[in-house]
Amino acid sequence: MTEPALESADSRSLSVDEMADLYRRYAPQGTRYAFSMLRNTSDAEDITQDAFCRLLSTQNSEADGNAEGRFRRLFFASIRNLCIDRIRAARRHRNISFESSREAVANPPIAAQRDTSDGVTAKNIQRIETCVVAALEDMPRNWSDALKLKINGELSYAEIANILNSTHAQVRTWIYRARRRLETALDKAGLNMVSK
Amino acid sequence: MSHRADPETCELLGSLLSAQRDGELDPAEMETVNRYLETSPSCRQTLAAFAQIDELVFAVSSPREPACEPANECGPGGPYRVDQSRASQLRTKFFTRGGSLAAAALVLIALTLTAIPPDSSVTGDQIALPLTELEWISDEQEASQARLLKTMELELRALKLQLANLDVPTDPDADFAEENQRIRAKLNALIDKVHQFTKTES
Repeated sequence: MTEPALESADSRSLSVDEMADLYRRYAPQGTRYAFSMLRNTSDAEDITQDAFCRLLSTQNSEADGNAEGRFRRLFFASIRNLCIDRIRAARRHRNISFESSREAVANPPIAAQRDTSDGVTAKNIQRIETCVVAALEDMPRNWSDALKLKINGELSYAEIANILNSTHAQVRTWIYRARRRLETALDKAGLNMVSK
Repeated sequence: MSHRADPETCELLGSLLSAQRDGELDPAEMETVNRYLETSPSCRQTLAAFAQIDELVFAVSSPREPACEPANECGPGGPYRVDQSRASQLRTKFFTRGGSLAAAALVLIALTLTAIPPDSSVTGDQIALPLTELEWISDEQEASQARLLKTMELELRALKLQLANLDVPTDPDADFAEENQRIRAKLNALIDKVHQFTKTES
């Protein structure tokens, strides 16, 4: 299905094929968002697929607004809810923070993805990502959620506000504060690469 | 425009600069921010810092592909070796070679799980585990699967022998003979497929 066809699919239910097309389009962003919450690749993929399965049964119950916008909102809201459920369940059984930090330390994404023979540079990159992950975990959840939905989900402030049950103005403030908090954390660690 | 209080002004405009980066300003706000951006180095630096932070958040949110587990069996780099191109290459390699192979392997699993005797050296877990995650196959897993398929080939050959040695009644039931023949043909076809795969691997 082409994008114009989807855009014109206002206030009507999507077919399974149309939803599958949207899923293929948004699955990478959804997985990235889930990973940013769970820090676990396979869990993130599972959650993204689970969210889609949920949508298959709930999408038809709503017929308001643009079809693709509706899908995006419900898709990312489902991913967020499923991630929170997964984190809560894991915390009941074991200390997920330990597991997450262990994977984060053992599995540095940026350092590993960059081909560098410069050990010092690789070490710095690893420090930066450790710092970013820690800062995201330390800030209020709404701040980090809003920023992650913006960057990983590429959602608008209005869509994020809908998912987080908030307002456009509040989301704007949360995202700004999240960026400032990250900037401060990088400054404190002497890792801010933008000269002041 | 005065720049004496430039950093302080930028601090006040921070929320607008952040929203400007996200394309979430209304026209009036956009005009104000753009005016400051033209004349204020601090505001431009703030915007650059936000861009850098977004890149970092995006980077740390990129899922990685497991290459080897557990951690103590891996070489330098920890339990996950991130090599997207290699992983992609492996996936392509496996699935281009393995469209029919994967189907055959699954049939083999089902057949073997139901057919091999309880005292077999190959357990259900050994067969099922490596093939449940075909998409994330690494070098080690690939070698392990080749060995596994070789074992399965031997198991199937043993099964074929067992089938041939079945104590067929002197006046065999026509249906039984037909079923025997059908299973034998299927086993032969599967053995050929597995043998082709293991031959390619070696």
